[in-house]
Amino acid sequence: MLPYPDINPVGFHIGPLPVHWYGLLEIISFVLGTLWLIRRGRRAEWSWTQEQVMDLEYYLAIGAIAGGRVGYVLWYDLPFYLGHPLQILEVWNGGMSFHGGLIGVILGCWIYGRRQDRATMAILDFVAPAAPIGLGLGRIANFINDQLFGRVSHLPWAIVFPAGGPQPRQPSQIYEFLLEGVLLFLILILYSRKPRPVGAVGALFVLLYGIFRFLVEYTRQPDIQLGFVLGRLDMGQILSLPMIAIGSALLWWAYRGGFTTEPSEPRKSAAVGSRAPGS
Amino acid sequence: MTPVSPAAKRRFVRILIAVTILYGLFAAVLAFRVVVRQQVVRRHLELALAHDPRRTFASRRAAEAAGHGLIRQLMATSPRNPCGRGPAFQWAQSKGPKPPACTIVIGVRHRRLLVWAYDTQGHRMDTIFERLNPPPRHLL
Repeated sequence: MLPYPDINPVGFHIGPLPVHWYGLLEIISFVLGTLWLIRRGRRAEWSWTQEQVMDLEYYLAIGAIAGGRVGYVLWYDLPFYLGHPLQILEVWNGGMSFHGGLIGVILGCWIYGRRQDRATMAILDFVAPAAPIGLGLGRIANFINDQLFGRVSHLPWAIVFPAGGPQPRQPSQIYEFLLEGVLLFLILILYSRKPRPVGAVGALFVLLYGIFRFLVEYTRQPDIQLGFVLGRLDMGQILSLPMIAIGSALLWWAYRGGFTTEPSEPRKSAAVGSRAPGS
Repeated sequence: MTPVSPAAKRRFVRILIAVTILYGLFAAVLAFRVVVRQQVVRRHLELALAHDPRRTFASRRAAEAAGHGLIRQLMATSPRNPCGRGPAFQWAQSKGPKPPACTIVIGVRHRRLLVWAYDTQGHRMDTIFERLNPPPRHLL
């Protein structure tokens, strides 16, 4: 059993204002993601200016926050929020859903694409490899914040989380950091180094995130207000199952050339829409 | 490979959107149903834990008598199992089938009363974690 590294959730103070690690890591991940996308956008096959990336980030942030919150309300605690509707707006009290955030981000990309005459899937291909930066740092923030820990376990690396009681638990936030953050980032970076069919990088993100999240949920303590929701499956797994199915369908469709872009699309040089899988 | 027609592209996107919306609604309905039932189980568990004397009785028989009395008392206030099968509270059986979902079980170990619970899917709940995080008073 490993000791819980008792890190103060408050990183430092700016005058009287406490700066929490959670918020700080979210800001760091947003800045890192943006800088990385600006650098990626300079490559000839993408042709994104810095202003365009900053503009897109605005849509992504709004989509992620709004979608994440709506998803949490709908899929994790709807009866409570029906009784306390004003608390839906209190996002600072916690309660965000990745799956809702993903839908919000896709909607954000669609709206941005409509305004800037870019294909939604091409935008998703562009931003998908940056997503694990935020996801990974978010899991580290969960760990520091002593939240979203794992199930009771007696493995040698199990940790007693102060908020989880005296029993040792799986450090599931660390598993998620390694899978949804580090590994997913590396896979997407390596995969997107070569020209791929339009939609393939975004589809691979959806598929792999779904698989990783589904697996890690087996070690994670289910949300207390829900418990298990269908047999041995918790809500994270229920919501990840369609990601695996839809991610596979999107990948297949991308390699069929189903997302090939119009000639006006700036990314056309990177698209090899009608190439066969593995070619 | 034959190129994908614009009509096929539109159909694919519409199917994806329809599947996502329908699945999202299914998940929302499922979650609503589970949260409402789980809230009742958690309240029942909280009641049982609140009445649990947490002391060692003089004998096993005395502990069992206290446990049966506690079940009668709890059944008088909350008799309904939110999952609809069996009573909300029951005495631990050393033999026989596992208690149905949404049941609070009371038993005796080492002359002490022991309380545990089964969630909406019939899995044993983490009583220690529940003690640390009592349910909200009211959902709706």
